Amino acid sequence: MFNQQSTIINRQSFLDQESRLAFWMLVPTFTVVLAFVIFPVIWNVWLSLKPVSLGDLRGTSLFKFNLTLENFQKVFSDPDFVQALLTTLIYTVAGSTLSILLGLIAALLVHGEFPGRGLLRGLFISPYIAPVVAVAFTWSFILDPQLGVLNWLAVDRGLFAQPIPFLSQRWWELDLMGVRVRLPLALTSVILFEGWRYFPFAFLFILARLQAIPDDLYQAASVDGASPFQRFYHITLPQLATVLSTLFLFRFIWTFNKFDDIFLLTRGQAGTKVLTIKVYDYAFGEFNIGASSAVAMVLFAVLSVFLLIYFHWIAKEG
Amino acid sequence: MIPQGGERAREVLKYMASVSLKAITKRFGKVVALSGVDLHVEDGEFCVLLGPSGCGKSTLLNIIAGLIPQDEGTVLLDGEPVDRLAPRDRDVAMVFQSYALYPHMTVSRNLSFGLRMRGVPKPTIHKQVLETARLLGIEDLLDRKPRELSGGQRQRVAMGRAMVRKPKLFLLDEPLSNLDARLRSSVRLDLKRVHRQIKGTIVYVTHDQVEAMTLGDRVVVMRDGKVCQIDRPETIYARPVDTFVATFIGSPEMNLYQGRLVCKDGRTHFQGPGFSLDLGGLQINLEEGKVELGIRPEDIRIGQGGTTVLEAKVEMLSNVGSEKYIHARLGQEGLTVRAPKEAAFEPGQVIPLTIDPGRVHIFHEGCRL
Repeated sequence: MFNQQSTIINRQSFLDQESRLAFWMLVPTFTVVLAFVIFPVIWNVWLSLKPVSLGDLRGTSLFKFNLTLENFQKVFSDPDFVQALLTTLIYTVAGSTLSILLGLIAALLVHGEFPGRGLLRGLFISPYIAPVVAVAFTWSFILDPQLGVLNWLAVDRGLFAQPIPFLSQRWWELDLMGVRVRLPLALTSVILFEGWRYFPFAFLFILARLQAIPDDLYQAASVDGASPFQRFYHITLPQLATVLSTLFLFRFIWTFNKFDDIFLLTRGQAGTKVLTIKVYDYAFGEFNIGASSAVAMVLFAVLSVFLLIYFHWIAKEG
Repeated sequence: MIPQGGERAREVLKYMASVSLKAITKRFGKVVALSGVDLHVEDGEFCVLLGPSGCGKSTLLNIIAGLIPQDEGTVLLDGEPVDRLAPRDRDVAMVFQSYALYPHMTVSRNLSFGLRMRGVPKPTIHKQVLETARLLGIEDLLDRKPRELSGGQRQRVAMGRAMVRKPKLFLLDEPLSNLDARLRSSVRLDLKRVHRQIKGTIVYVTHDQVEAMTLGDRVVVMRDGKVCQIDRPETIYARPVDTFVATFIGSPEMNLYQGRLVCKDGRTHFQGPGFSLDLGGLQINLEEGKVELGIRPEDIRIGQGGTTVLEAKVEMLSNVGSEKYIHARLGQEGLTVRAPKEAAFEPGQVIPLTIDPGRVHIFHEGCRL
């Protein structure tokens, strides 16, 4: 019908039609982005600049124009704040790196051909698809100093002198060949959990990329005299560079904003208080929505800076 | 790390080694890829492995390189068995069909890779890379990445990566098959020139008979994992050992007919399907019986004059510019004849043909008589 009517196309009306079509096709995207991305950010900025308590969320006081920097003053003067920011960064960098490293090892393990490869690949995915509540409680039980199977086994075998409260002790004093080392125990435990739970994500990406590296590159390198390690270092790693850096970007953002895993494992106790837990504490511990929003803004700002650095660096590399 | 003395000795020896294969057999599951392949390639020889795809020629090359282990048999380099050596310890270089250039490295890094892996000192690497680049005319490309190169340039870099190390032996796996036809013939000439300059021992795999004929000092024709014939290209063309080699080499391919040899009045006749050919006093050690007769298109003369005259009906002409090929019907069989480019025949026309009995190939049960 459309074609029959416009056998002689008026160029101008055609362009009009095209731009109208473009407008209507963009409208859904814009609406979604506006409603679910831009509006929440602006709303959060608004809240962070006002004295809002949990009770104020109902009623009209939210729309009053009483802007103040009090929330930020409160957040920045909190003696815990710097520590929480530091913990967040350590947790994020170590957790991301560990999960990518484990994913890389797992991908290399099941890259070759062997019987049962499909099954093993499937098993490797399981930590990622299991519900977080279930696995977090499973790990809490395993690591529990009184009821946990790990401590029981280790004490029984004489590995530990006494049970170690992995998730509830801040520091663990170690004697490494005469050097006394203080390990942040609970933080290390949640980082290990993070690495274990999210390595399948890295594993999938890395495996897909590994499979795409042509075999003859390795053959050429073998003939050229490269040892297996040299082949890994000079062929595999450079070929994985893009996917590894992309993975780090994703894992960094997601881990930085991670709340549920730590909350379920330690409730943010014993030196694992990250900024997202602070957000929760302000909002539901002190019923201070304003301060809570201010911490969220800090998270947002730090991530923005990270992204800026990351893309600047990527743009240079590329 | 190559010791100073060894490097000096290598300078004198320059890329040379002989390679011998003794009864190489390789199976992939139940498929026999190679069975009992024997081959000796001399120092500095250009040896071409020729065969249709799936004949095992690439497998053989990979076995020489050490990338695939053989099931039986021995590979000897300069008389020394190398079966237990990894590819890196065999001192061979390989050029792949896909070139397999390292995509994340510049041309210069690609060229130097083998030397770097062997811990050659930096000044030596620099010197050898420049020398090789100059020889191949790729000095301007040294800072580029492979993706910024054309097909021909990539091919040169792949050659350079093999040459820069001055290996004992070059293994080339269909190195020209990814180039377009025009480039292929010019690179073929370059390859011949480079071989003459560096006098390396080369084992070259191809399915292209033109490459085999023009490049090889010797050609190894393979089929189904077996060697059919090893000889100089001229000999293979002139005296193919069996009907497979006879029809595989030569374009357009040899005319081949099933028939019987019959003796009449002291003269040998070939009785084909619907035609008869007087072979005169042809001396062969088979009196009568079933044979196959082959005759190359260029060995048939158009017109009368000789003793053996046939009549064929023209069906079609194909013009390749420098000459024409007449596709005709001889008895019940098809026939291809080479004709000069001026030739003008109409389909349906009957033309007389003369065949020199000395130029025919007679095969019995597939093998040359």
